[in-house]
Amino acid sequence: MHTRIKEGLIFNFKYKALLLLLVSAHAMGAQPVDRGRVIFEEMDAREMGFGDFSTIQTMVLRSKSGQESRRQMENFVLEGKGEDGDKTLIVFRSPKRVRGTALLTHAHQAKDDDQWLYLPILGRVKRISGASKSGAFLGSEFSYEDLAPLEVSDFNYHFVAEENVNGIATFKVERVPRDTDSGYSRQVVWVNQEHYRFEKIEFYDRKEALLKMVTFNDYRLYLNKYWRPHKILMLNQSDGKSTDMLIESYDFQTGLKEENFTQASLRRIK
Amino acid sequence: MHFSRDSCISSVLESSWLPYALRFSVRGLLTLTRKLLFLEVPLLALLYCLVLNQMLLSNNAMAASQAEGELSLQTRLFNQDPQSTLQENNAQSFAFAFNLSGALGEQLDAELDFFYRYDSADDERTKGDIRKLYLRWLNPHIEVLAGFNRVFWGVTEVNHLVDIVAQTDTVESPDGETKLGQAMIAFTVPFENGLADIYLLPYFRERTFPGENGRLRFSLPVDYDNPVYEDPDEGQHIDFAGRIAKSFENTELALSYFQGTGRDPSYLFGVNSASILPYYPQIKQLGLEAQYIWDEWLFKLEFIHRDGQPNLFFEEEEYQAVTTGFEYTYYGLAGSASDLGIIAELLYDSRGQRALSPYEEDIALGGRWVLNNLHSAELIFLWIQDLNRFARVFAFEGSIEMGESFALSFESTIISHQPQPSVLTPLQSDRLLYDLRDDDSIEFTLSYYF
Repeated sequence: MHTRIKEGLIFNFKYKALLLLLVSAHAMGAQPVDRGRVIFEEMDAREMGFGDFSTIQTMVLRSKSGQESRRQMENFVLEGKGEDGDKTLIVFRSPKRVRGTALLTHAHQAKDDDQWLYLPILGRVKRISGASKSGAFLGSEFSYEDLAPLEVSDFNYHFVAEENVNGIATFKVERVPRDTDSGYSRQVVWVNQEHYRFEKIEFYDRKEALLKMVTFNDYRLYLNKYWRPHKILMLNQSDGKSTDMLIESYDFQTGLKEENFTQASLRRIK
Repeated sequence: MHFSRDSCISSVLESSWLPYALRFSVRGLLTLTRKLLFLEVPLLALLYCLVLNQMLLSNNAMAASQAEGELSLQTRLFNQDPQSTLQENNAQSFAFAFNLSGALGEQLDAELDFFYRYDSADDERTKGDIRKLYLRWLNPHIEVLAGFNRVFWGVTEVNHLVDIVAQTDTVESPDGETKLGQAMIAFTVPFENGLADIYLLPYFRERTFPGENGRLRFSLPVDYDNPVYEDPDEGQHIDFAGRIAKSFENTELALSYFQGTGRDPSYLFGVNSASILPYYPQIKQLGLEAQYIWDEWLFKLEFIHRDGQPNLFFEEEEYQAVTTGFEYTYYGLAGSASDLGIIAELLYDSRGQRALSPYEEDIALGGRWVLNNLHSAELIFLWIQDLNRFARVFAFEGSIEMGESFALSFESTIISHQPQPSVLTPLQSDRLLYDLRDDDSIEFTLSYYF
């Protein structure tokens, strides 16, 4: 069981929960599978076989008073084969001071991801901990775990209802992260019934307060199969800060190979 | 071939009829020319430039060429009077960095990285450097690079024991974090979760040192222009370096070897009374780098065994040195968006007081506070304490970004109140740090990136 859900983004989730998986597999045998989980398994099945893709993304960070700051990056994603998780490479392009800085991630199924950071000024490749996930990504309202490609088995699911959101028929599902390192106690997810794609997610913090809300907009279809959002808006409910993630387009199946996701390739980034 | 300071340069500089602005630029230009000559391979570099230029211009199908750079203004302030009246209390400088890179074909790419700094106080800090100028042939099985490049080895943060391929540019950054471009032919062979590098290093670069007018130097200046070599081929000796690195599940390991002209000079005192001569021996060095990841903890180790390097008292001595410690990052400090990374490292050198480094048995504690705000503000703090003596160093750094293209940073080093070396209490002080006792400094840099 190594299925994946892409949130159309980057980064990789980590989990230390091989034990948890085994325990829950045992528990699942005794209970009927929740309808929420079935929905996410269907989402995951629809994501298989994309091969690779790359994007150029711009994050617009906004303070409560409306002050803005931009971050731009290039992302490259290679679909995992067999037991391997996806490999992703993010190269930062702006602010210009950090351009050329790159983050390479090898995602894994049942253990922490491997991550390397490339610092171009020193020409240094630094292995970093893949265990952290509640940290803010580059000062944005996205945390590392929000940007991770997730696994169906990362959550426990509870189907809530069928609901109309802005005229779109959705499934409303509550999911609870199994990893205790997650910054969230639970998430409420609205999934598009026709295309099995995210419309909206609410994130609740460990004190059960609504922390953040993200909406997925401007979906376009690639290769007649893969729906991808081009505008992802994250709003922090507690402090009024927000981050817009803007993606111009996705280039699928550009011929990326394993050798584009190695330490040797990191050193070649300019 | 070594050039002594050209007296005609100073006569041009001092002539009062030249307008100030012209003098300013002539001085910079002359110093630049002199410094470039010190590459000792001006013809090779020029040839390379021409070939590269020709290729970049003639190749219209170039996949992705990019030109970028940085302009910066810097002011360095010292709050105490220097030991020598030749030294100045503050210095203004500007720096220019330019980078041009591009693909020349399916498997061929090239890069040029040029740096120049003008410093108002120190002639030795006014210099240009070709940090990168290479052609590289890429293939899934091997990568071959010919030209100038900078290479970094290592895992620890406070000092870099294993790192040896490229020479340290001390005047550019006294903490040793900046390197000079090194001429090389380099072969890289990637394999499953690892890579092997082999370097042939034909031209030696001398370490840069502050001049007699500069701060952060020994009580006598190091005579950069008159180095002494062990090998009769001097800087033309062909050095060899190799490294093999592999990633395991939670572990990174690398083993390296170097044989040739040592990048760290030993020092000849008393050959002449006005300066110290740098001495570059032939050395052999075996290096080990290891890093283990446990959750959010990184445990690090660097070890070297070096043979052939004369110690501080100019006796040849085989020695070992170790830096080991950990790094831990705390995310979301006190419920905020900011992160705090902390490091602790032990620094050890088997030569003890005979070591060429002040960190022979020291402990270093540091923190990096990343605010994760709109301006990417961050603060760094480092304290290095000698475990046997009262000697210690404090360093503070901070930076913010202003929009897409500007950044402001500061860097401060506090070295004062070093105990004085004395016959009665020989173990109280660190000789190397004592010379820097009046050189507490703070520098501010405004950078524009284009």
